[in-house]
Amino acid sequence: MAAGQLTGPGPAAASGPGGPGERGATGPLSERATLALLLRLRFQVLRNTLRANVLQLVLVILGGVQGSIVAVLAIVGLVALGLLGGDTAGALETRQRTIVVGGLVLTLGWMIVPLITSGVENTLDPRRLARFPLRVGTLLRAQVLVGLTWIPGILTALVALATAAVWRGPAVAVALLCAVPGVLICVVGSRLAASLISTAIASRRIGLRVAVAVVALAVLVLPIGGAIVIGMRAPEPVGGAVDALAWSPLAVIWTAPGLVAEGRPASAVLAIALGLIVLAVLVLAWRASVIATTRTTGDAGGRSVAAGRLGPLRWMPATPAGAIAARSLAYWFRDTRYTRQLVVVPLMPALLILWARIIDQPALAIGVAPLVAGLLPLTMFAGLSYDGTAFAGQLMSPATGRDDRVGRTAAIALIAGPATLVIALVGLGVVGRVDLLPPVLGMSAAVLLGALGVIAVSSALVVVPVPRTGRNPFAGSAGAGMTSIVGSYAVTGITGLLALPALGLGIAAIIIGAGWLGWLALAVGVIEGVALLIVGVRMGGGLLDRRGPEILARLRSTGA
Amino acid sequence: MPAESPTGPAGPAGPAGPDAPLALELRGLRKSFGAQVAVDGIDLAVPAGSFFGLVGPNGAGKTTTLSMATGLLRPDAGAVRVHGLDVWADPLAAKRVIGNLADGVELFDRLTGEQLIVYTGMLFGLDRATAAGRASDLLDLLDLTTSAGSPVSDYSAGMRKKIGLAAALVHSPRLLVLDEPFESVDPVSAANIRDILTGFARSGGTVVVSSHSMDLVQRMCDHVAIVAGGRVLAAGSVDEVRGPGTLEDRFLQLVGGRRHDEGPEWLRGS
Repeated sequence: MAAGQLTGPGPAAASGPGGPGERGATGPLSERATLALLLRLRFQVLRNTLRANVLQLVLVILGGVQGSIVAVLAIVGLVALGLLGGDTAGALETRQRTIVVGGLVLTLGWMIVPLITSGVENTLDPRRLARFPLRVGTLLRAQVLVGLTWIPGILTALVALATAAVWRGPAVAVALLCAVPGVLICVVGSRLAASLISTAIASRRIGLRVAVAVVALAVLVLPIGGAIVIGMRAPEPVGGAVDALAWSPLAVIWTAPGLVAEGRPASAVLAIALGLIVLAVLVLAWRASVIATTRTTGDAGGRSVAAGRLGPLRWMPATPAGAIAARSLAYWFRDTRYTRQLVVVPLMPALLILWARIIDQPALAIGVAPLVAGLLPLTMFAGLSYDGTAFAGQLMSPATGRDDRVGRTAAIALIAGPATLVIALVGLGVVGRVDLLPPVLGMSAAVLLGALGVIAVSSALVVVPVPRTGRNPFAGSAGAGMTSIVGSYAVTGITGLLALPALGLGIAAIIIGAGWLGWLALAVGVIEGVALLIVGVRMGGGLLDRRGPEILARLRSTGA
Repeated sequence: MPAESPTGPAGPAGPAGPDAPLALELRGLRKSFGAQVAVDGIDLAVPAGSFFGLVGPNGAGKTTTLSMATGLLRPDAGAVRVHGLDVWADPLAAKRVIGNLADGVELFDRLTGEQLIVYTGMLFGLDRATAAGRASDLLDLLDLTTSAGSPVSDYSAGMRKKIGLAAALVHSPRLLVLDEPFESVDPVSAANIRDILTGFARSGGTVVVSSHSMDLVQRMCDHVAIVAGGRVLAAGSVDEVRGPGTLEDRFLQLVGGRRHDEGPEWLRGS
């Protein structure tokens, strides 16, 4: 490009913190100007999305309010923790254990959310920005800044700083100091998790998928599992486990202030050093994963098959509803946004059942089937949004709204039904309570079919913004994470309420241990679930018939 | 739901004479997006059996008009009839007789090309054997047989157009509405598609295509409408509309907007 074509300030030197008015300038921007530009871009996209979509704005506000309430409660709790119990050794120990467990849960939460929701904020997705001349480091810093400047990041930072209120003396300063790497570990960990899962799912290589899953499991589970095993051998199991957890990678940075308060400065220095090493390792892993991601071209569409291989279309009933069911089912195995669920769903119950066995709490293993039954239908929550404007292909056809609801519901039920059954059997088998199968299945049926019914209605009402692959890099799904999380809460809450009769009977049957009550719970659960499903499919189908063109218009405006 | 469509496949329609029944009739169609008026009162009459071209500059409202004509976008005002069926009063009946290739929408691209056609056929109520048989005919016709088993996401832009066209044809519609069917399609395939469409119109079906290519429309279509700014500027048989000159001359004369410079200085090669 010809130098000096356009007059104006020297591009790199004169770009101020805001970096305004550089539109015409050629040449590279400075690091600061680039960061400012990316951040402005991210908030511009957010503002435009929310302005165009009132419902999403409401959900973001609701999410913000809910998060703020949790944060305020946490801060009040931290202050109270600092005031209660004086300076006795017992009080110090309680404080330390609370902070360690709290810090660990916070960090794990940040890392797990991207694994289970797909609507994660991705305005600055490296793959979308790969066509621009940006350094990887700049991109990573921009993503961290985005994480820190949005509601969850701000609230996390506030709570992290508030941990200082627990301590007295020099430990206060140490707590304030450690909050910085602590929050960074949360944000970077979350980004690493998101990057890893998208790489793993998008890859066509099974080996890579397995490797990522194994590494993720090792990083997340092994230290915690190890700590628990160590704790079990200690004279006081729970406390012992927590003390061991204090030195696990994701918690160690939160341990340092308490060590200072206990008068162990050398250990505190070691904890801080370990924490910084953890942060450095996470950053390096994230960087490597981002570089790997930007080298892959988009999303694998699945493998080719021989002509004549119709997949589910071969055996589904040859009706409009059957076609939609077959198409949905094919997407479960070919679209990464669905496949994600198939990766996570077996993982979670496996962990819960294992956990139930380790800490000897059979209730966890008993409850896992209804839990999974309630979670699986949530994928349909954004079903129409995942279709995007491809929904037009269905709207062109004479398929009715009810055909659509029946087809999509059948596809999920075909996966979720057997999965729930297997999980119930395994869970109960592991804790030796197969006699509880009827009430557990009754509760699961009510929750599964009820959730499908609720979502058959809600997904015809609400179009959630979701990530698209291979689209305009700036057509963002800003704030999507919050929308899908709050929306999922709402659906789960309504399902829980509607399924209450079956849930109540089931729990009563388990507690009382009366066999006939269990069979009653099974009957009530199935009947209630089927009724909810039929009502939901009818209502949702009617909505879809009336609102089809409007839904397509919404899909056009949110994505493609 | 009635299993059989009210009208047979590729129904018997007379030749496109001046008094032929209408395959598509738009009356007073309007659509605004916020303050922006996209379609500002469009009337069109497409005779059955005609090959109808819809031409206009970018942003003329072609896609908006065709979306409203096929039941994908609800008009603010106006009526649409397809072979006498009111599209917005009874959308399902009208959609049975329309084959639609929409522009600017995605396809279910995780299905293979063949699966996409069979899926569409089944949506229109075809039985499996018929849908599969027609899918292989269409793939063959459009030179997609070697890619039949590949996911549509691996297709090029031109192949996507072709598979979209195949999906529009699978239920043997009476009216084909094709938005930019030749965009990014290679010359050989474009010629093949042209033959298919001409044959379809000759056998009594009706084809409506939107296109930027005046040349193509002039050679291929027997009727044409020029739209700009959401209004119809001229409509009728191609010979009526173009008069003594070419269609492109007439178009530029009606629409205007030709520039007579070579762009800004920085854009010129050194």
